[in-house]
Amino acid sequence: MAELAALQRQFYDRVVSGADGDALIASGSLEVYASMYAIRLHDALADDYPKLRSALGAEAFAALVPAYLREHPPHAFTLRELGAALPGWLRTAASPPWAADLATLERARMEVFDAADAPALTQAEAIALGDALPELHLRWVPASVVVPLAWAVDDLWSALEDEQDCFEPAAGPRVVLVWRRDLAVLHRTLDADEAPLAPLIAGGARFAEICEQLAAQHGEAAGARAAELLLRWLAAGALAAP
Amino acid sequence: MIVPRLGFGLGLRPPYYEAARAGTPDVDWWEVISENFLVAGGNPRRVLREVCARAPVVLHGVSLSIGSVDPIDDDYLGRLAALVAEVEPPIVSDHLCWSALGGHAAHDLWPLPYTDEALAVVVDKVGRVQDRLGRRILLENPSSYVTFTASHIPEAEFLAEVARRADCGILLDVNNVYVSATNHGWDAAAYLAALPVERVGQIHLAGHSDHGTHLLDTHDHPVCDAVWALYGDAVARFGDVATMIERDDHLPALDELIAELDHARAIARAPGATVRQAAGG
Repeated sequence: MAELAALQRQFYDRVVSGADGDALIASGSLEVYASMYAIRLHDALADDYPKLRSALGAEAFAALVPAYLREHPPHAFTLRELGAALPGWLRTAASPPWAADLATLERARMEVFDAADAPALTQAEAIALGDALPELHLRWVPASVVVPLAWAVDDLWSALEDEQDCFEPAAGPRVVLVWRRDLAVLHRTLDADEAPLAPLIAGGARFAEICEQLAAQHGEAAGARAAELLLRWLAAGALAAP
Repeated sequence: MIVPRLGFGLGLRPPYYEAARAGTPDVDWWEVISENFLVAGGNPRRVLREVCARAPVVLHGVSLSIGSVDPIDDDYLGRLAALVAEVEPPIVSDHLCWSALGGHAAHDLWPLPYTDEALAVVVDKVGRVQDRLGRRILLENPSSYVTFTASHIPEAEFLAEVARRADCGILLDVNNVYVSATNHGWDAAAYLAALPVERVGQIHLAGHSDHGTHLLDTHDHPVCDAVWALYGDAVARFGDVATMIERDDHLPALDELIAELDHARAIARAPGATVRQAAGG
């Protein structure tokens, strides 16, 4: 495959990196392929990160795409994976400090969109457990991601969703739960006492453990607070059926 | 070669999901881009399940990279095999092209040099894919914007030889023939004449854009008159092969695509069109 391999390497380097390759061709223009490559990958990332693009501006977003692709060229058969490393890459790039968090939230929503289906635990099913409820292992539905953030990009996300102007989000740690109920992708910023519970539930904690965790903060009111949160999660369709 | 007689279909794109789920008597079958449904769940999988229950669904892939010197992506092929087992499509197809090198994906359909070496690579890989899937695949002729100095086999003869040696089928994209013939000064009629009738199992029709120096296969316009005329020639040679309209951008109302599909039906039923004997599914 020596000649074919050499041709394909030269073609790839010309199209992706702008190296010389015109000796390969008898007619036409390799620039057509180079242009389509750049446009297609830019557009795929823009589709996956519409809020980030709005927040940074189309020009700034377009400028960061080639820099990202130099470090993270497409490696998967599906364009779905093209932007998987973008949130992490933004933490090292010359971009606003909150940009990585906004990308993290958008990526989580994208992953949840077509994650595995599973029935949600209903309130009736939970109530039917009766005395066995403390032993129930709580788990988020498979189509969910717990997203720790350092900036209030959930507020920025909502503003951009409502087509308001971009603003710099406030700094401050928070945890956002992203999940899918039926076909709708949802996210919610967790309450201060709820946030530490999210990774426990991701690990399949028993309801009794959730109550114990809350006791440190709420004392005798922990049971009532645990019940309130459980009803909230059940109503949201965020817990998986056992 | 076994050619399923499916009639006239459309590409299943998100604006048409609801109509396809409800059932569309004017669309005999749907083609889906395989990669868009190689996901775990959510709406894409629901739509696929529901549409499959109503009409035949064929799988059209863009990631086999059948002409690359890279080995076949086993992860991709395994997922495709699972989708094939689930959907049981009458047709599974991909493109005569390459789209990955050194583990990096192009996300494009890059042209091959038509050489003996490339022929051997494609034939070998088609064999491996067909063995893994347990069925024949169809390879589609690409639109191209360059020709290589290394090429010494006309594209249609190359594709025909791949089909014969690898025992696979051909997905004839009439628009791609027109685009490449225009771009490279090929004879479109000679192109059709070089393809073995019994190997052509599906036809694509689509629109393109004129960029002055070249035509670009953009799938964002209605089928043009010249491509309709070439489709008439194709039907005369290949018969009532499963035919569909490919539209991927500037997606119009479904009725507009069904009107184009009806135009294809009229051409296929016109005097002079060949009716091939069905050889089964």
